[in-house]
Amino acid sequence: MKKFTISFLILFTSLLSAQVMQNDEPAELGPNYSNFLSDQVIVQGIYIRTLGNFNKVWSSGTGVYVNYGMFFPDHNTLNFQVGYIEYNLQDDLDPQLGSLTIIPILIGGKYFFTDSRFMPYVSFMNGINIINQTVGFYVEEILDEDGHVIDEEVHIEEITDNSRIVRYAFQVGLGIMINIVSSLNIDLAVKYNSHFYQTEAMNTGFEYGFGLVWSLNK
Amino acid sequence: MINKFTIKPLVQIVPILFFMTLLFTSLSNAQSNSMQNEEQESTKFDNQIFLAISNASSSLSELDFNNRNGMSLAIDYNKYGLNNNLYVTQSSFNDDYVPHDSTKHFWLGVGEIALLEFIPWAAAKWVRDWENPEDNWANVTTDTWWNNISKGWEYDGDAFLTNFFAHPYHGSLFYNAGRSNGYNFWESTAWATTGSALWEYFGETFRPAFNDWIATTVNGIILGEILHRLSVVVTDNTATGSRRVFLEIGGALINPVRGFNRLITGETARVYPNSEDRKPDDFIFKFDAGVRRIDEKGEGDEFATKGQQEGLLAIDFLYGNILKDDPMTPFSSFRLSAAIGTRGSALTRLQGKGNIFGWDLKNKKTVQHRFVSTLDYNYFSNPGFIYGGASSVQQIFSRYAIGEKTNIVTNVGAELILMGATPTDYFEDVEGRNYDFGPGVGINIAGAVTTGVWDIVRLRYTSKWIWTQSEPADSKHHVHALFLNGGYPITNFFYAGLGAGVYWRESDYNYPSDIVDLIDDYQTDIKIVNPVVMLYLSMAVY
Repeated sequence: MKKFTISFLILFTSLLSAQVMQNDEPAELGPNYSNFLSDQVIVQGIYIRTLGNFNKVWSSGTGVYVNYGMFFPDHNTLNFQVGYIEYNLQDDLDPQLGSLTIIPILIGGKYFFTDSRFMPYVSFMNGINIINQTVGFYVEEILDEDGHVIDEEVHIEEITDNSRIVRYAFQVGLGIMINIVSSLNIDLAVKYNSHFYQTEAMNTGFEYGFGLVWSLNK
Repeated sequence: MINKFTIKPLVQIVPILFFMTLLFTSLSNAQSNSMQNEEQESTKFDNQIFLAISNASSSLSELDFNNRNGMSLAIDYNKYGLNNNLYVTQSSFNDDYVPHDSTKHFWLGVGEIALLEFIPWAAAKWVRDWENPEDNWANVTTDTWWNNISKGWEYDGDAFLTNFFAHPYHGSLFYNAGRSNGYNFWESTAWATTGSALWEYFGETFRPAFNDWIATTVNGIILGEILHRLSVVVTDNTATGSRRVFLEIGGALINPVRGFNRLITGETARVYPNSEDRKPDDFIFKFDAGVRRIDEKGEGDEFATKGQQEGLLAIDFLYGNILKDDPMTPFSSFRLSAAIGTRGSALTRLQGKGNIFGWDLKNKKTVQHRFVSTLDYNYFSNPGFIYGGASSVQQIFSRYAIGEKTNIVTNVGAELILMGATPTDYFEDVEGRNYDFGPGVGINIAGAVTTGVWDIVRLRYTSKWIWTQSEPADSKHHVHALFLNGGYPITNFFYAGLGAGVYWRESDYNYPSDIVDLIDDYQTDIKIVNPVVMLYLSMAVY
């Protein structure tokens, strides 16, 4: 199902991008002219589906980002992003067991394929996650006779120290920004997160975002 | 069976035939162009004429100029025995040729990235003989891809040479898939980043290695831009005949992706003007040969009796001048140093350093201060010292003139190490890794008295703190290097040098009890000291 979803999103974005690229583009108006792209402020709500061993404890996450994008002609923005994300325990775990929240501080960029009403883009962000946790876990590898890993078991453990840790964060994604009216745009994005957490349980997942974008200087 | 008798020979033979055909055709064209040029009269002046001057005192010195109408002239004083006579190359003014790298070619770049991913993957899958086929990391499937996506980053166990030379070189090829297809420095960094990430996630059965991604991307960018610029210096679009053939081969060896693009676009054989910024005002090539004695046991006190000698050959390319050239143009000045030794790892040193941005703090005739941010690639592997890193260094370069050609130059910098590697005393991975990975910080201090291109005396000190992130992660390292070099310029082009120094490492281990139980003679603090002396002769070409 996950593979199907990813394939569908890639296909959908590509087809949409192809459609948009076929639209009549305005005539060239100079090297630094842009039609819809400019400096921008984005407020985005996100939902995360986690993957891997991390998913065995924390199933999903919700949060919000505030993002400032500096426009560089012709199709690029340099982005600074901060946010707050709260993760949810798996259904079979006691919700009172503990919490995991993250404050991401990221820097990266977007490349917009077009500068028109529909603006599909690819993005790359990286930086740090400030992680606050009141419960932790570790992964036990089950080995066969030859030393190959045949299974992995997750064990919940109480946090006695390091309730706050800082780890590297990385995300790449696809999205589309759609101009609604004047300076107001909406933003839809799907991102793959590969954040550091523990060696055998990296914080990976797919992040789905919906945001409002306010174009500055327009 | 199919793999053995069908695919393997195809993988080996088809690309070779393809490249041989392209190479033969292009080089034949290059040869025949020169013959045509000699036969043809110069008649058309409506497009471009090109100017190239070479004289007897240097193998090549060129003067390119184009007026606003695209007119230029070509003069070769020696080649045709026409001392001081004008010679106009026909093909150079006979077309409106737009150089391949002056416009962007996205899909060609994508194709080259795919090829650069495919070649090492195919070599591992079908060409390399695996003792245990289960070890073949190229047996990727959609399941291994999904596993990599689900599990995310790890630190790998590869040997030092793989992680700090092979990966950066691979990254330089990814970078040049963008750079030699019309993309600028900043745009090409995305090509290195993407090419590396694709390899890590989809080229191997292993989980993506974070250290590989950093080393391939950052060191690949450094090496890639350096090789791009060196290849541009070496190739000469105005050359013809056998000289052109050798220059094209040299350029392609330095930068295979650019060489490939020149082949398939016909630029290998085409005569057309060089770009205006082809050569920097300052370019120095140095060649050193000498001997080094080093204490490989790291005890320091038995250096005189138990030190190891080895022969050393080193080269240095100094491109541009970090105090003169525009610091806001990335890699307008850079340094590439490489050395091979006769003991241990053959490649004992490889360093690249180029400016990213900067500005003048003071710029007088006798005193200069300039802030420069550089990207630095470091690879050291000798019997007494191992260090690898990709870093961003913020530094102030200064020059104080004390004579007509004599200066005191200094450099003080703070280093942000994105990924560093230094030996561990307790860990050795089955795949060969015997060093720790981690980010860090460092300081670099250097001062020298120079005359012309030579150092009369140079003192430098570097200190780096690495916090281990690879498993077992509970350690930190502090590495130092202190060197004093001096010498005598025998002529403007030859120099005799002597150097002495010491590398030392202080490691602090704080392993958990389950790891400590596995280690005999566990110590939390370990200090390794490796003195070294060097004696060498240098030759400079500039």
